[in-house]
Amino acid sequence: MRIENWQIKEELKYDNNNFWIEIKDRQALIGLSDYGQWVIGDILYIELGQEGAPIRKGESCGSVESGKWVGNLIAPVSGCILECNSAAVENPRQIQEDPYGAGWLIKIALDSTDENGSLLDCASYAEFIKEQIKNAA
Amino acid sequence: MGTWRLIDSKMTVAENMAIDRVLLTSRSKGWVPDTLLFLEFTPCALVGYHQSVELEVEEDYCRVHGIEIQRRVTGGGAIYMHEGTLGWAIYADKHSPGIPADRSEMYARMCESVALGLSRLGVQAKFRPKNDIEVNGRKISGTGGTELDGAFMYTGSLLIDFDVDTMIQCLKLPIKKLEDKQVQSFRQRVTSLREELGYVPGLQIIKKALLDGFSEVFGITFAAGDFNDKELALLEQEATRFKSEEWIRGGRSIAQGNALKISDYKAPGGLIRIALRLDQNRKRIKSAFITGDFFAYPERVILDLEAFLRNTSSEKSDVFENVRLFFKTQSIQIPGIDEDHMGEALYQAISDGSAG
Repeated sequence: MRIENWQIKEELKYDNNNFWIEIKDRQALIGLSDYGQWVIGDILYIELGQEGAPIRKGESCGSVESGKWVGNLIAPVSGCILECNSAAVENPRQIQEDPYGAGWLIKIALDSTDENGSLLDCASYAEFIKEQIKNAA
Repeated sequence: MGTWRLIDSKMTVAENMAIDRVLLTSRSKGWVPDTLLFLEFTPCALVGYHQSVELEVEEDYCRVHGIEIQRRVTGGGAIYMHEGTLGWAIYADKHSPGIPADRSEMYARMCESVALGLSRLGVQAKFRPKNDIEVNGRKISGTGGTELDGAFMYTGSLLIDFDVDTMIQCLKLPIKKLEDKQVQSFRQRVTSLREELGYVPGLQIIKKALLDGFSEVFGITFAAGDFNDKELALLEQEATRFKSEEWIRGGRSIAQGNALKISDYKAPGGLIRIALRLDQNRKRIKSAFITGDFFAYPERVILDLEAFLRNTSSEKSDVFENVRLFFKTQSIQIPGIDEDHMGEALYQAISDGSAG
């Protein structure tokens, strides 16, 4: 599905910080959506948490720098970091060129599946993007 | 009309860095109102949050000359601060009245506030996207920001009576420091209130002018205040952390680079000398310094091009595209040098430049 210039993958979940989340067997693979990477702009640096570290939904799980601005990456779900995409950290261009593929950010072991219900499906996320575009106009 | 707290502080370099975290936390938790803070500095080299000290700072020079090294919580490149510079920082709620939700617009309003303040002093400063304030193309203030939950901070450095020579010595810049001509030309990239006015206004006069600028642009007033007990307790904790080697140097060696690359390119209109700081691992032009014996009209166009190229891709196609985009959006006359010559000159430095 496309909303204006941005691709949304129907099989993924999303949150309102523009992360996509793919949940499989109590593990979540997380990355920035196509719209999310566009909103941030040219990503100069990205820093992610340490593997093995716990992360809590709504708390910072890393930072991203674009245009001299350092922003927080806010965890969409709670769990323990299994893996960070070091290739994306070294070359953030991957996040912008292939946000749903080579540009993934972290893989985590979920604490529980209770939080999954609060994530957005593709249609709800599409509405969220439309709302964001409308508000920015 | 809203009222912001105004604090005029005098602290150590580590405290000046730690206070950003303290005030961001305090504002995000609603302990304090929106605040403008002025900061004074002793000599220090400050790297950006994601930068690596060893790649950005001439550490031996700093050690010998008593220049402290610290890390900011904000983004951007390494800077040199000292008694001839003034720091200003705003800590506010993202939804405070008058704060644009769009970040580019927010950058513009912040920088326009400072430019307006400087105009009250008689300096015709302007906002230069994305985050600089300049006078005829020469930088007089750089800015940057960060956020925490619902709060953000936006900070800048104002060059009052700036010691360019020490900056050139203590930071790893795109110049050969032994070449007088290069150093002289590099000096022209920045300016200061002393240079623009021929004298240094009193610090209180400068601060008042900046406050007037912010008041007018954001429609606010200021009430002098001080840190509260919670902030002071947090500052004590954070200052200890900010003094640690772990904060200053920790965890940021991720395959960054900062190679000096110099090359001369002969174009029909003259020689173009390019000096770059290149992150060869991440394929970025960190900074560019363009000189030569060509004539550019208006003169500032080369300074604007340097600013435009900062942190852009060093991939060949991107370099040419960016130069073309710059030439297309500006009114530029450089006899005998077109966008392709400039692109070739830049890419020659990237691919074959000497190590300086």
